[in-house]
Amino acid sequence: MSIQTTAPTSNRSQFSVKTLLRLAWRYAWRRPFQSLFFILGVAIGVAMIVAIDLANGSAERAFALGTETITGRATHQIVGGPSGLDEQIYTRLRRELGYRQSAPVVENYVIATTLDAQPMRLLGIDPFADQPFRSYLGEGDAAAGASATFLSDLMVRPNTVLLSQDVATRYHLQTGDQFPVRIGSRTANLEIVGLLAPSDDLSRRALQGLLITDISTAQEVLQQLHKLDRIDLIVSNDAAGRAALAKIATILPPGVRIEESAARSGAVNEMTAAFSLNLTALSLLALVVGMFLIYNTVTFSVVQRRPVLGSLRALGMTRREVYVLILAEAGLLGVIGTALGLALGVILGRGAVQLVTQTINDLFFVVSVREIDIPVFTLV
Amino acid sequence: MTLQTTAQVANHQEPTLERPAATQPSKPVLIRLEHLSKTYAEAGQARAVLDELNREFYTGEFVCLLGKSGSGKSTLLNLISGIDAPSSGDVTIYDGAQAVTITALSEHERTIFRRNHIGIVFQFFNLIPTLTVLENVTLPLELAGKHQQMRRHAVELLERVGLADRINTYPDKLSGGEQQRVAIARALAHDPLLVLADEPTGNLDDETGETVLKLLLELTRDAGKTLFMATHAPDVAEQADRVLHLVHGQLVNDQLSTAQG
Ligand SMILES: Nc1ncnc2c1ncn2[C@@H]1O[C@H](COP(=O)(O)OP(=O)(O)OP(=O)(O)O)[C@@H](O)[C@H]1O
Ligand SMILES: [Mg+2]
Repeated sequence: MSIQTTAPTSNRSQFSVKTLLRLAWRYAWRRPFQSLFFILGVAIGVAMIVAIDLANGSAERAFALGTETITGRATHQIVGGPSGLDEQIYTRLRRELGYRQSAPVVENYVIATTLDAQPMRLLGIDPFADQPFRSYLGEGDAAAGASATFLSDLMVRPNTVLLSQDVATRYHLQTGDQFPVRIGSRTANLEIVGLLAPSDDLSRRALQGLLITDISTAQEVLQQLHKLDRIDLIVSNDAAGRAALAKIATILPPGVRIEESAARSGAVNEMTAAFSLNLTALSLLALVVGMFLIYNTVTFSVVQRRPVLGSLRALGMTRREVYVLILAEAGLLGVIGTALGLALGVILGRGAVQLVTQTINDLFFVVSVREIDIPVFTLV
Repeated sequence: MTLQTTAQVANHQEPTLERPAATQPSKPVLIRLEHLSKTYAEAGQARAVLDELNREFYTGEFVCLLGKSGSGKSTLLNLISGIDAPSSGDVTIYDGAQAVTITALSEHERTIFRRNHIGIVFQFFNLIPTLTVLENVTLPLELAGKHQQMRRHAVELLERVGLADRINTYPDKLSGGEQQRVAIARALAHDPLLVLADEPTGNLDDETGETVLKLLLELTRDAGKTLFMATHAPDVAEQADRVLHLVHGQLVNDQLSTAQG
């Protein structure tokens, strides 16, 4: 229209962003309580989302860890019914078929009474057969020399276990110490013959809920004499592997079968899926509630100053400029609120992780993801 | 009742009374209202608040708009300032030789026009509480993009309204009268074509109101601005160049001002 040409000054509609920002900043500064309210609203919203997200992430990693610990690197497993497998099967597998990529496992949960009564998985293995299956027995790293001695101790002396270095440190235990465990109504004393401190973090964490023992000790403590829970196999994925599987199948008595580990971990997944779903639902809920909180805070801050915004409009501030003003201020305070919310979320998340892990401990695995580290991707 | 009927009779003759004035060369037309109507839909029924107004107002004129509460004074002012849009009809504002029919503009264009050419004084002062007195006065200058010597100009205006020593104070520390004086300075800061005042003394006691009114008149007169003031106070009318009554959606000339011509 003709407006532009009638302008007494050339840059008439050029109302600088700087002025807007100053207005926004001024607003925040002159209304400290409202600003604080805004910041808190955003912070709580963000904290909520972050905390649940962290808990969720930790839980997921706990599941993954647990699954890996259970199945290890095995590709297949020989499993029986609820009463387990006869250990003869393992002997025949080794002697008659000479199949070396196999490892027997006896396992169950026990309560470590003096270790805060936490449930721990007693994992009975054949230390020599097991090395290809579970990494944390230490292959080739600095601990190898030492591990050789405690592995033989483990096999030779009854009721001996290996414990994670972390757990030992936490409960002031040392090699040679004994501690009781409860299996149902019975108790047994276990002696520590070695401490495991794998270099990688995942294994170290996986180890925290584990008591590793020789297969015969496990059978004794768990009262499963001559029984195995399963035999882990590593079978190559080719013709030779399939031939080996076929051959193994021939020596298996009725009721005993070979399963793919994926199937096993599939079952585990199924078990954890429900829990996972709950957590996802919870995190979505947190997201909705958090968003609602933030939305409400912003809306409130706009509504309660509608008169001023009206004045600004009457003075000739365009809709867009008012919009930018609101956004600028919301952005300004929002950034502070978000930063605060992230910090708060991590703290809350720590608590939430504890609760979630506790639940997982009680229900599914005994994993310790007590301390959270913050994966960057959950924050972006 | 009888009063109102006579008023309406006068109103019907109004166009013929008005035309000769428009042709006077000494008074260039600043605002022209043509068939200006504003209706609100109320419970499914249209209610005309302003009904086919036709008027011209001149540069430098002080127009006083009287009317009962709810008669549509604010509505008319909002149409002239472009805050609101009419149901039908036009408002044209003459910026020198340039005619701008603001009712034909978009909301955004009206806003830009308003911030460049119109100053407004409100009943409730409407200062921005988070800006200092000085910043409140410089805000229209910034909005209009008139950054040169902005501060000096604002300080001058604040001196005129007697608040030079309060420039760094925030509005909530000022009395009502002082706030309105700041608002007057603000309304004039960006050198507008006209100043609209909606009951500027409505929220002040009589004495303060008088002072504020005097200042407003003085400043607009000195600057040669048109002042269009809606008010309840009939005594303000004594100082006006022209007094109009808003009755039943019609503009009715005051006996006195009609006589003046
Ligand atoms: N947005 C709206 N919707 C419906 N009716 C409206 C609206 N705005 C104003 N009105 C009506 O228009 C009429 C005129 O209102 P207006 O505010 O212009 O009166 P006024 O003369 O300024 O009154 P006062 O002296 O009390 O300020 C009133 O009856 C009011 O109810
Ligand atoms: Mg009004």
